[in-house]
Amino acid sequence: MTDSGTAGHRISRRRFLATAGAGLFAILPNRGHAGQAARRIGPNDRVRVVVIGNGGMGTRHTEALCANPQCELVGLCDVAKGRSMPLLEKVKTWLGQPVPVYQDFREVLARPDVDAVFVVTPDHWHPLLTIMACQAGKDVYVEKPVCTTVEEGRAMVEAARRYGRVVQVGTQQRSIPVFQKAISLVRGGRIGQVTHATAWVGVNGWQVRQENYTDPPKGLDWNLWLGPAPWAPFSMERYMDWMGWHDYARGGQLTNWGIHLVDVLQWGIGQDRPLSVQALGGSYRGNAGQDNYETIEAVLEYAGVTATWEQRHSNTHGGKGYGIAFYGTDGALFVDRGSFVVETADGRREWVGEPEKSWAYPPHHDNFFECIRTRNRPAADIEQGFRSTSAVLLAGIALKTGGKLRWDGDREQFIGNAQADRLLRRAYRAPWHL
Amino acid sequence: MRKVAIAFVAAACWVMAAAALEGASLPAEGDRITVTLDVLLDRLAGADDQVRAQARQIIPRYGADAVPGLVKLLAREEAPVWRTAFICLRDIAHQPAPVTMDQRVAAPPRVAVQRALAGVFLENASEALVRRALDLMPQVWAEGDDPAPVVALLDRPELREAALRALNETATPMCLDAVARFAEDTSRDPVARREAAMALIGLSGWSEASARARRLLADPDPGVAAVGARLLAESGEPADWSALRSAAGSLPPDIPDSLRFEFWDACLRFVDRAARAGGQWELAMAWYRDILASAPDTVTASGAVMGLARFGDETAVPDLLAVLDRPDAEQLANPALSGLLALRGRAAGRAIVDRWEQLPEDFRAAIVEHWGTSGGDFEAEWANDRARNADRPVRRAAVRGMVKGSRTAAAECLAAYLDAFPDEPFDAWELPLRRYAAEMVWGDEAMKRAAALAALQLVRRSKDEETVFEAMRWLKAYPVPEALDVLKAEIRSGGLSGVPTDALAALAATMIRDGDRENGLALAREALAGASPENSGKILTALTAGGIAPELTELLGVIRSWQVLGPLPWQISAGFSGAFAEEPQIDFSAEVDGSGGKVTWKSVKETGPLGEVNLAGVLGMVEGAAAVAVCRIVVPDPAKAVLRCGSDDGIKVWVNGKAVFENDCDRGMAPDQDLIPVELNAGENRLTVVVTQRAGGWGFQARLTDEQGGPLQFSVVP
Repeated sequence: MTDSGTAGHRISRRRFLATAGAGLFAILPNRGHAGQAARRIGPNDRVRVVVIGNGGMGTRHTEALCANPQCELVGLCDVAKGRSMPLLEKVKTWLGQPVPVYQDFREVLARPDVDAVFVVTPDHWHPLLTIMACQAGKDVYVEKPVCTTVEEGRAMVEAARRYGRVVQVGTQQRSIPVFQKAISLVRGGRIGQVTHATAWVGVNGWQVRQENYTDPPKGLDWNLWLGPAPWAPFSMERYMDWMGWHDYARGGQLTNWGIHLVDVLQWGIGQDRPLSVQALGGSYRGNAGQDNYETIEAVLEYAGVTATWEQRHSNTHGGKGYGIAFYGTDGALFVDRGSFVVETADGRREWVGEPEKSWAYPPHHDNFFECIRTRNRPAADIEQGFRSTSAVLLAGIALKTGGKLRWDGDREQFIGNAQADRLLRRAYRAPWHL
Repeated sequence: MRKVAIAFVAAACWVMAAAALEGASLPAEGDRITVTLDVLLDRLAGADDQVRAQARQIIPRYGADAVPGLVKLLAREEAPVWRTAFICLRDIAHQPAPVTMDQRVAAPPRVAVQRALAGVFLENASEALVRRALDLMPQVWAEGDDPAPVVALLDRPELREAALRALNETATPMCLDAVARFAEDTSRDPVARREAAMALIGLSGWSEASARARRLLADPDPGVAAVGARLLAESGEPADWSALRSAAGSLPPDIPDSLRFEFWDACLRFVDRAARAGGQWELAMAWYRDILASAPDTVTASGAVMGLARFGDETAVPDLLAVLDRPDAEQLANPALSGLLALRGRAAGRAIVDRWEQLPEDFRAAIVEHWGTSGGDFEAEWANDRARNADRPVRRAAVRGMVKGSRTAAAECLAAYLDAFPDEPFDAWELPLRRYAAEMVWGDEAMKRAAALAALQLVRRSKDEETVFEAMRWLKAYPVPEALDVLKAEIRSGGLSGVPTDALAALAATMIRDGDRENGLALAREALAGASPENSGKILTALTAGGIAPELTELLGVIRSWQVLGPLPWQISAGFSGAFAEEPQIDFSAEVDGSGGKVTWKSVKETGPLGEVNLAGVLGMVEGAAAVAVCRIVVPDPAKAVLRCGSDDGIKVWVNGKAVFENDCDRGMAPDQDLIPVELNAGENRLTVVVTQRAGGWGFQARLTDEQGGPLQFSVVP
């Protein structure tokens, strides 16, 4: 559901249209550029990158990129100057010099000298930014979840393939040694044939709160922030806690952490197309009207494997507040970002990995840059990121529809449920379109 | 009077009914509350969030009955109330139709919700309520439900966006036709028309789609026409190509570049659709070439290059290489390389190899890496060749690709590469090699061997304790001769427990055969020590597979020297009773009545690798007979031992005149079929064996070990 333009709020859409500038309503203003494909990166060249989205996650990426000799930061971009300007001050410290700052990403895409962009915006912008960047000839690193609907995700994959772009997804666990080691054990048969896997996390704390509508802060282009999402007047509650709102994040913790953990789950079992999905949940302490539930239990069925997603209060397994567990005929393996534990008839062994320093993981960046040079598919290619995202999106759809949904992973639609199929896509607010 | 009585009775009934109703209403506070739908709706609308959360779970169970009350709450201003009502209505809309026991299917609850929402659109409802109803519409409207009330909202600017969204997400043919009609209506505001047109993007397959798209393509408004192009791109039908291509090619020169891009991008999407649909491949390739030659921007040209590669064949290779000679080569090099990587098929691979020297070095490296990872047989072979013969950067890329692609030869290639370039840092290879080993262990013998070779690299070069631990586990599961140095170190440290004994035995045999007798025997002892009866046969087979058993005689305790007498008369029905109830008389100088004449003792010293005595060869082919075999075992001290025998057919054993075992059976011979505990005196011990012959093969073998199956110090008196 949306909460667009509740009666009585005079901070209206019309006012924004008037102030946003005629450029927004040029004939088809989706594209602000003429398509110019990026140059070929030589072995001694540095990849020129711009980070779009300068909030917390964007700051982490920017810091890591400034320290990476394989790339050169050549710009920052955010619809809110209140985010990009403080980050610019840090960049000056890190690089010893400023970089250009943009408010409208289309200006970034129009720069022929930009090789790649990092998309670190709220979720609802991930698909369109990625597609438009591909259409602008840029390679893309896009944060997870890659999309808010299955249709968007497929369009992103198509764009990457159609225009021949490298698109890496921010599921950096694919590049973290502790996961690579754990998965090599699972795939190598250490615990026998895996018949069940589970991913778990704590409760979803992002909530839809009572909104107090005000003017947007100075320097924030609210209309551009909303982008393809339905129009809604500005409130600080919506802007700061967008993860609780279904229009911007389709699941809260389900899509925030869900994709990371289900990605590893699917990696371990070697499958990415569930046969069916069922889910139950709700917000039982209050806030019954929000779509991003607090507590969720979902079951995904794969060929030969049942998988569960658990999201609830006080959720620990073996003392770990999140993680993935694989259960096989000869034992079990538990893994999180810090360690993995193998329990077999031989006993229990725990291996501790390097402590995680940042959510922006340099080796994952390096893999991206290397693939820009070789044009090979990266470790977390967009197709894979889409499959991991779509698994949790399907769980979200099952929450809404009730019952067991059977999924055709090749045709990417439900079997015998046209009503549920409608939830695989969403309309975009004009002038934006996929 | 009668009328008065009737009136009085009626009044009394009314009073009683009223009293009954009064009793059915909510009791006083403190009494037990009956939870009715009304109560639940009140709770949903109340101030207590937790109570509302509980009501939210239960209300949908009332199905269609709850709809009117929920719609009223949907109109409320308080966000928690209307949001919860919204979710309840959505839940109800998804409920299946109830089925009665007489198999009648009632209307699904969705119908009640749809009717209620239609009412909202038709009444003069508040803007907020209409918006919420529009948000529900996609989950509620079925194909036959008339969207007209919603279509009428397109004329209200403040609701147009929400109405378009609802119609787009509902996407029934009626909804889409209505939106298309709105977009085609040139009397309307152009901005509104464009918005409506955009709402159709991505939706195809409804019967009017292509016709609508053509009309929009011909629209005088270039923005609407661009959307028409995009819609027509969804068709992929050859009949639509010329209209689309013509529109792209005849744009006025002053049209903004961004809009020009939309038309050409539509052409590209159209050809992608046509190529994917199949049946018009040659047309699609021709269209891609047309776009590549004519596109006004390098992104569209990139798409054409990718299209030729994704859907094309070897005939696309010259096109992909030709872009490197264009003025805009710098922008097309990436898609050219991506395209070369995307091509499939042996002919395409051959076409690329034929032009190998024309390719820039970075292209060659990228291609061999890709082919090593996921190429077909031809490409993989080329990658294999480059992994051994190319210059370092290309060689490295090829090896890396082969490791990623789990190629059987990858482990060897990597070992050779690392030997050739000792300065190569191993860190970057570690995790890919682990993944490689993990995949290969599931394969055939060659793949398992490759996994072991990979594990060997990890053991030798990794500095990570956990990696080395796991790699040793893999190596122990499949020990390879190349790992001798590692396994020797493990022998010295006593770390070979858990290794499959037959695998150890096979390795021991290889080591002995290759001249490392001392370590091979050490490994063989490990394999034999504590082997279960089931495994000991496997171990013996593995140890003798290379024909080296004579060198293991001492270790295996094989008895090779016998005195044999026969064939002696014997009947199957007698078993070991009768002539063989007691130990036969042993007089090596005697001449005895055998089957078919007199027989004397013979000395047998030529036996098989495991001491097999071929009685049929020594004594002749007979049926229904028996043979006696005797040897003298000398041990330095009293010993408890295990005599491990195999026989064809039955066997009975005496040690120092005492019967210790018999097995009257009909079988073929195999090593260690019977394990017989025996007690030996210090010095000389007589071992007597009778072996029966029913028909066919005839023989026996025996070896003597300690109780654990390990070597026993003994000698045989010749």
